[in-house]
Amino acid sequence: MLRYLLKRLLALIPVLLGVAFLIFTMMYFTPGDPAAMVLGDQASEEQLNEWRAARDLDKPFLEQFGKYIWGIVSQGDFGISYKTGKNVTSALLERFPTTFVLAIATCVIAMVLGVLLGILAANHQGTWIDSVLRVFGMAGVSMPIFWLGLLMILWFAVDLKWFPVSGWYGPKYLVLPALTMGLTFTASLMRTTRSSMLDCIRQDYVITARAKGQKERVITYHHVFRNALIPIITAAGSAFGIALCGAVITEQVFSIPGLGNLMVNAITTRDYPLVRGSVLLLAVSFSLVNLLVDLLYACVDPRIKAQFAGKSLKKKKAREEATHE
Amino acid sequence: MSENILDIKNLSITYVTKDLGTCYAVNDVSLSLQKGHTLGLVGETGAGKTTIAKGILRLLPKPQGHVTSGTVLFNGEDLYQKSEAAMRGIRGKKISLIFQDPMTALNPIDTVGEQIAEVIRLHAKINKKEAALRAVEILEMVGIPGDRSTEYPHQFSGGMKQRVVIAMSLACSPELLIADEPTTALDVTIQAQVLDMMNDLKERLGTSMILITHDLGVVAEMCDEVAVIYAGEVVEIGTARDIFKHMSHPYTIGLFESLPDLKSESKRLKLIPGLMPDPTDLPKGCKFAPRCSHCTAECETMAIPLTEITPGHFCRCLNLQQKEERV
Repeated sequence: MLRYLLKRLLALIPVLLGVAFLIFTMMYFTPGDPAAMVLGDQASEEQLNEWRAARDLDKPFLEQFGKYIWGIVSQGDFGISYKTGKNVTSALLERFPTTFVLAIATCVIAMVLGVLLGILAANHQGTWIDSVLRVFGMAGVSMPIFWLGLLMILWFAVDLKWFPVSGWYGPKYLVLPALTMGLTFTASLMRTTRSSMLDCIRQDYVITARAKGQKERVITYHHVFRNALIPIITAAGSAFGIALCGAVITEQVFSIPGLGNLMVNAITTRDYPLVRGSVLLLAVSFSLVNLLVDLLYACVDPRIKAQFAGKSLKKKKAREEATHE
Repeated sequence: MSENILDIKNLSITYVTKDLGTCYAVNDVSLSLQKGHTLGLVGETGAGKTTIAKGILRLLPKPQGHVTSGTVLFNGEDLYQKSEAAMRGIRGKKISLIFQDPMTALNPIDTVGEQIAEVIRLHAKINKKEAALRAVEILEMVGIPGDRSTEYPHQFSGGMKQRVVIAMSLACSPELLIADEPTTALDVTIQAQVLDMMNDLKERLGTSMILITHDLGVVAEMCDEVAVIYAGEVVEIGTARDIFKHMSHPYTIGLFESLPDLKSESKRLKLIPGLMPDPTDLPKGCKFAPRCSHCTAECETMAIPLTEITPGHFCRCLNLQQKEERV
């Protein structure tokens, strides 16, 4: 298990190198001049050149990339923001908790509501409850997040005055954005839960449990739900990853000073170091969430756990089986 | 009457689906089983055998499965009048079920010990530890080392899984065991072992049994009475001797003729031409008429009653006379 964990963490290195190269290249070839953005229209050609030279922007592509990677590897230096002149690492660390809290709140809402509603829909398959939930699911999946956000603001902030319209000054400010994103993920998680539950409800071992005289409640949660968990964990994991990375729109709608907001601003001002830094941070978070999801599989399913614990000889075979599943 | 542990009277079950319409899976089936006896239900795949088994325990899939008529008396009590809670007390304790496919009948994420202990804990008031110990004992009873109780189903072979399933169904010493093709998914060598074991346990525990199978060899070995099921109907019922020595219904005869015979020289097996009728659109008269070589005009139009040929041996056919001569 520990070996597996170590291996997965080591596998992160090439992934991050790849991500760094991609984002570096993309920013390099993106039209727009950071010097002009920072110094403004009034700056002379000389000033612009001087600014560029100070940041190595006049060097060839590979040299720039090499220096960037070396800076990270040798001293953990992700560069300095062009716009604010602040260290990128500290700028990111300042924003990350906000996004993280929002993502957690989103996922808690989505997981609790989505799973419960999904179980409800599966247990009442084909009845009016199922139909109502299906409509809700369709609406939730297809409703654009910015529109839902605006509706939330309109109802709960402007009309009812229960929660503040926007900003980020305390727990109260968390509710509406978390609800907005949470409801969207609830819908997709509910659909996953429902179909996964329905797959398991028809299995023979469920009839076995019933034939033992087990109560329906225990059958639903112990026998069906636990077997239906794998796709649900996958969906919840990717929802969490997306919530971390894709809170951009929600953060804009509710003016939340999070990572998404920071990144969008960095892109429009061609603040290369900041963009690269935030993309790398998101890549790390996403990979770690995926790793966590894989580890959770092992907790849920003894067959997968057996594969992790298997000897190195068995590993190749186990991996093949895992991909089949 | 009272010595019968199970009396099924005029049981009819339909499955209703939007796509296929109404499927008449079981039609007016009456069966009875004496205490300590084994009744074999024989028939092709799709004849409704499993549906009868699930019908007895009220385990029909919801919302498709409907019992449209009939009663199931267990020790004289009508199971269909019981509350769901009372049924839960009967399932697993008084009547238990062995499933066709041991590969899928066990929950893949619980250890086999937990799964056996589950049924014990549901019906006996003992704590977790005692139940686990009981589970180990029962595993050993079916010939599996007790220390394997902490292993998961995927660590067992097919034959061992079936032993686990049997152990699970016998854990509470049920009065009636319904075994739905318990050996179909197993190798022939393992089949014999499992059957021997079931016979042995049955005698030791005094259990009555309904054995569902399409394997006539298994029937010969295990059953006291046999009912031949075709398209959801009992077409012939009697003691094992009646069925094997004095088979009367053309379908039963066809079944026996389709068995390979080591003595005869012929290379090809005889088979019954055609397929089972579509259960959503059953023939009006004899359900077997379209495939029967003795079919007359009458067979196709009128409902055929189950007639008693010799005491205790019933057959649903109009042309009995001819066949008596033929056999």
